[in-house]
Amino acid sequence: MKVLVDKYLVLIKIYVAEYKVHMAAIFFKLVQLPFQMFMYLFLWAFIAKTSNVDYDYMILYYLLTGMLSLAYPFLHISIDIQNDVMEGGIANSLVRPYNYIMPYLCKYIAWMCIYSIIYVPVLIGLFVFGKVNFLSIIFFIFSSVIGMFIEFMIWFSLGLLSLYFEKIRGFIRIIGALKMIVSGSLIPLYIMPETFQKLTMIFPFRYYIYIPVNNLLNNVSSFVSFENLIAALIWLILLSMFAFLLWTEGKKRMQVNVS
Amino acid sequence: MYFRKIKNLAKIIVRFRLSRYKSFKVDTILNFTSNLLFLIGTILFWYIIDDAGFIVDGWSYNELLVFIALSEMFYGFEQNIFSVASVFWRVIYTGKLDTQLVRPMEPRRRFMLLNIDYIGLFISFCKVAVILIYAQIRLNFVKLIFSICIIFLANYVLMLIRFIICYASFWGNRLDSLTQICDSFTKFNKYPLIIFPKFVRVIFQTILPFYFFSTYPAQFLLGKMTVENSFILFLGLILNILIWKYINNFMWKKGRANYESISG
Repeated sequence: MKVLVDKYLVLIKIYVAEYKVHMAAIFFKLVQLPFQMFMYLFLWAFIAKTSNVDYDYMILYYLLTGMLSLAYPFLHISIDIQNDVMEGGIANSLVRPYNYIMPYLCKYIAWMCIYSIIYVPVLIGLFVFGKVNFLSIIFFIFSSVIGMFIEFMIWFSLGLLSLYFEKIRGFIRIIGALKMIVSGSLIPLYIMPETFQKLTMIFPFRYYIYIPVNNLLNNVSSFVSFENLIAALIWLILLSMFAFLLWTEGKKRMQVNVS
Repeated sequence: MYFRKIKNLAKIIVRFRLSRYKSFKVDTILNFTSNLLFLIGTILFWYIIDDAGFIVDGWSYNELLVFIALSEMFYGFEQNIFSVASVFWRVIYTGKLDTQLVRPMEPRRRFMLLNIDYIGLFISFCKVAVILIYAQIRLNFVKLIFSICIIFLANYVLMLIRFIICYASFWGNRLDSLTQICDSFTKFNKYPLIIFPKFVRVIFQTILPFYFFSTYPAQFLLGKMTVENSFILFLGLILNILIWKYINNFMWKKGRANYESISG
């Protein structure tokens, strides 16, 4: 087990080093969040002039949702797998001493480590200046980490669909659109009509964006936060099983001619 | 002669697209469905804002629908014609540019023309028409055409900016994240830019083209500005074109002087 962990730690370190080489990419990534916040700041300030809106809540909500949704170019996971399948590169992974998911997962974790450059200061800022208690922050960290893995498994499973359909751009776009609507990144879900709120519960996206952020900002009770954590874990297990099924069945259908 | 060449190119591209659609039917259907879902998401956002009693001062829900239609027009032009400019850096970075420099058509123009999605563009026009009908606002046809032209020109300026950023590759830079930055620019199309304070709006009207993405066309189409103001703002767009065209040409020349490759 220790050997295995060491092996993957080395892989994560390699990816971290690789990301550090392309510092411009990290800079561009970090520029996006203020860009997006710039829009929301003025939009909600404009609406708040004539309507009864909790401006502080809205701004913090969009800051945190932006931080989470911009954390990683998730669709690249699916696109990379699609390219692997279509170009035959996937065949190489079958003879290597690790599971196909591991390089993707390690790359993802490596990026998340780098992304904590903005993640951690925002949380410290919230704790110091916001009306957020420490326990809520702890729950937020746990639920957003589980949510990140849920998000990863969604896009990884989606990528594996290319073993069945080859081109999966359409699937990627559909999931992207659904995510935008039901995850809470468009607008806080509690503002939406009740029927629609219920509809969002059948998708796992809310566990990455809406649930952690809303629980943090509304200081939701520990019991409810704990319930949400359990639900998120169940989603994570289900999605992992789904990915495993897709991989084992998809492998049998694969035909690659690598010279 | 020149236009016949472009016409023939367009025919080949359409044929390519159609055969691609046939080869990947599921992908095509899902792509189309996802476009609709994104549109529904945008309309839903404004519907919820309206439904929750939040007011966007000076804009009714139906007027916002007209704004959404023009915003869709922007995305239609952007995704089907102009956004590909963001990946021109790869042509430079991989050294493929030198094989294109010796061809009879200017490389950037050729690159753009070969990547136009005419079918996607047609679908965008259809979507815009449906939203405008759904908005149930009587519109002046001439004003509508003018608004669409403005959106096209604003997209053209954004394309020039994209090219300028791509030229950084002449100095050996990989620009993987560029697409994301340019996507951030297109976010200025999501909301009417009247939400910004005046000094920001002036910058977006004179130095950067964001105001012309869909806010100015919507205001013009809905008669929300005087003829005098419309004309002044139109001059702002012309100024944008001139500034970015000049910078674009200057950087292109400087970049090529610095260009080294062994691909040719």
